[in-house]
Amino acid sequence: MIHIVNMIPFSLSGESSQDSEPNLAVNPAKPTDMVGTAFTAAPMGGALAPIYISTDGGNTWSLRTVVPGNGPFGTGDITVGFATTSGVLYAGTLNGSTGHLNILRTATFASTTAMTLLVDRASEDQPWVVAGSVVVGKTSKDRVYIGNNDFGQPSGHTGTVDLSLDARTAAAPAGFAPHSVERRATTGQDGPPVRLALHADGTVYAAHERWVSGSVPNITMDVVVTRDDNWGSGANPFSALVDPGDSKIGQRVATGRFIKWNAIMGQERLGGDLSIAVDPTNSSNVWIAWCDRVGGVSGTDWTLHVRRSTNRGQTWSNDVRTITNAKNPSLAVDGHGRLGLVSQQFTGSRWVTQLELTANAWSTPATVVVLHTAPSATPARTFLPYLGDYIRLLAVGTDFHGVFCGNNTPDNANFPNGVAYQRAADFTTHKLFNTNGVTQVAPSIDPFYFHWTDNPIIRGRGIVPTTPIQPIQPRTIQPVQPIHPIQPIQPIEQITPISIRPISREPIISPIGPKPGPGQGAANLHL
Amino acid sequence: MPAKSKAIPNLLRQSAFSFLGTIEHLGAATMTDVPVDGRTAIVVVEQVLHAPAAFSELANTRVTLQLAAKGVAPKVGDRAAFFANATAFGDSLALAEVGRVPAGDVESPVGATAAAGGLSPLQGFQAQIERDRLLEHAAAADAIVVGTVAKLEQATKKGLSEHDPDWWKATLDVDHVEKGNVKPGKLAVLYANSVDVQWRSSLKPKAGQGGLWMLHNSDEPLSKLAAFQVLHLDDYQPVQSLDTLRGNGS
Repeated sequence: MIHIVNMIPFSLSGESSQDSEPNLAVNPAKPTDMVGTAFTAAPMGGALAPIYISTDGGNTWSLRTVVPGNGPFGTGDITVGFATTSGVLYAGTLNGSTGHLNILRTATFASTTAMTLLVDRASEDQPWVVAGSVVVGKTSKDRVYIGNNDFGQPSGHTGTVDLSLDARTAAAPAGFAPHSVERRATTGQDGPPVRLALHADGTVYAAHERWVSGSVPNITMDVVVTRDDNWGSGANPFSALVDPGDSKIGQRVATGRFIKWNAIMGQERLGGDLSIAVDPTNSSNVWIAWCDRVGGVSGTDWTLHVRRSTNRGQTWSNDVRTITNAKNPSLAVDGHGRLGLVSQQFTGSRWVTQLELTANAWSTPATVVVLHTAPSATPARTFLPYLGDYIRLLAVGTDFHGVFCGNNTPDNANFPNGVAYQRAADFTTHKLFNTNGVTQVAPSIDPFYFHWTDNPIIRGRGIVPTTPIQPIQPRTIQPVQPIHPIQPIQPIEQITPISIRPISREPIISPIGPKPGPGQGAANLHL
Repeated sequence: MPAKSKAIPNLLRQSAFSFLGTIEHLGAATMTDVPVDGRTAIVVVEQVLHAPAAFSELANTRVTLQLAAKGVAPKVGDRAAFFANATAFGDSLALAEVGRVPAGDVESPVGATAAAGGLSPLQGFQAQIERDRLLEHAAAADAIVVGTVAKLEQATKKGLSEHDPDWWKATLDVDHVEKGNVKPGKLAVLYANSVDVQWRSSLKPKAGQGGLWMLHNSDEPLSKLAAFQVLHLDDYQPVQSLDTLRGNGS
């Protein structure tokens, strides 16, 4: 069962920015706590950029401006991750003011206090955060890994992982240090994405794209996987996997793959798509996805490939899945060993975002869920990337949680499996409105959260799934301590918060199935 | 009627949002996930005084306002002009108060606001702040010229990073030098032509574009390509801004 939510809150109904390139963190210790990110500027300006937070399992989202380095579009690249047990949130960003890599931390993700800066480093790209927790002795430690493309590394070995074995509370840099995962010659750099997969037994996989030869825009690359078997704790992390073909560290999954760097498809740029995931039930099982141009220099395609290894990355299958003209693959494996793949495919006139679930590497037809399909020509691009250079899928237990960006036109035809909007939207007229319900707002790119579970979903907006659905009460006033001369508290019954709109209390039950008609299922005019 | 509080300019500089409103409840909030104490108020917004465009239509709505920790807290029913910054955006807004002035300091007589075209009573202060900001930006410039873009050309080979600035060179026909060690005639300035998220908002001169240009020394090693660069959107101004600069002694 799928549930999809537009993450823009009602109070930001007037915005029409390109909130692209999303990311997501789900707190494994409390999966109703989530953090999302996108290219979203602080709505009222200031030095701090926002994160999206949810404390009710993704039903509702709000923003907190807590990330240092707010620029015209928020931060640059930003990704997030919760440690497994501590509830501590880690972020990797390109600071929106300086462009520097920032590694950040907060123990209170929903607070309005700025995140703590742990690392600040220039000449960087695309930080990608993965975090876990491990008990050492009797002490729980957060182990945090941040893939990045570090142009400060020597010899063009730019594919890098910053890691800390105990990042939870230590003062900056909290143990973080960069380690290149590239051991071969490059054109002077690796591709932007360095992706990670962490297993609870201490196995850490890192995937990167080694740029082997060529010059702009024609690049030839190898897809490479490195591995560490003990959390990256040794003197030379990510050295466990040696390619017998050249006896060098890093197993080449695919070689000689062609990239037309910065080619445009459906208003979006292409060039760096990569994902890796490990089976939580068996760290020997690992999956990888990437994109390249099968047609070579004269080709026009952008083809997504998925392969798997069952021996800790030493050997790999042929392609078990390909999708032509698709980008942003993101893989995750759930507690049953089932693989999830979310990607965005360009059909020539539309961007189609879909989730595929397979328990047998597509040996039999996968479960396919179209999350979103919308015209690719609108809205007009403000900047690159249009949808994002990445999206994200996570598995928590046997559930999948993910995030993508797309055209926010409120049209049920664009959401064949339903959607819930927080911002003011009329699904009958397909129009967006400001908070007053009168002023029309232009369509733009928004982030969307989605949740797949095998169990029925019974949700009401703002209500935790397992809670019986009852009329929402205004915020209860706590007994106020007499800190200051205080005014008598007014009877709570008089409060009528405008944010509580009866139409949104209607539960959405198993949105999958027949397309909701006007006024059904998906939220209509939320005012 | 112009606003009369002397505190208003400073409050405007420190706040992103101001409004005329009435305290409806104390110790309560319009959002479920913000902390509440005795200085947390639900305030009914009567009139937005200044705000980013997306928040200009919040009249007749309720917001959560964390009253400033110091000073006398207002009572339920009190009206005032509140100056604040946002701390959370959800079903409604949560704001942290920077300060407040009596409602009478910003109120216009009935009909006056409409007669003024619906403009905020703070518009005079806002215009002054905008002028001050322009003067500060001009003071930070290494040269200020009036000229027209005569030529645009790529300055360096495009880099491989997706966030490469893609440096281009604009040749200005300089008619007038207002500031700096520059002579009238041809002058090359660098700009970032990339539409990547990191550079999209930087200034991109257009062929034939004329006006006032605030130039900044190029960072090393770019100075080998051109002595000056323009990156900030405010580095270009209509030529009429020269009067503003001169009128303030620049």
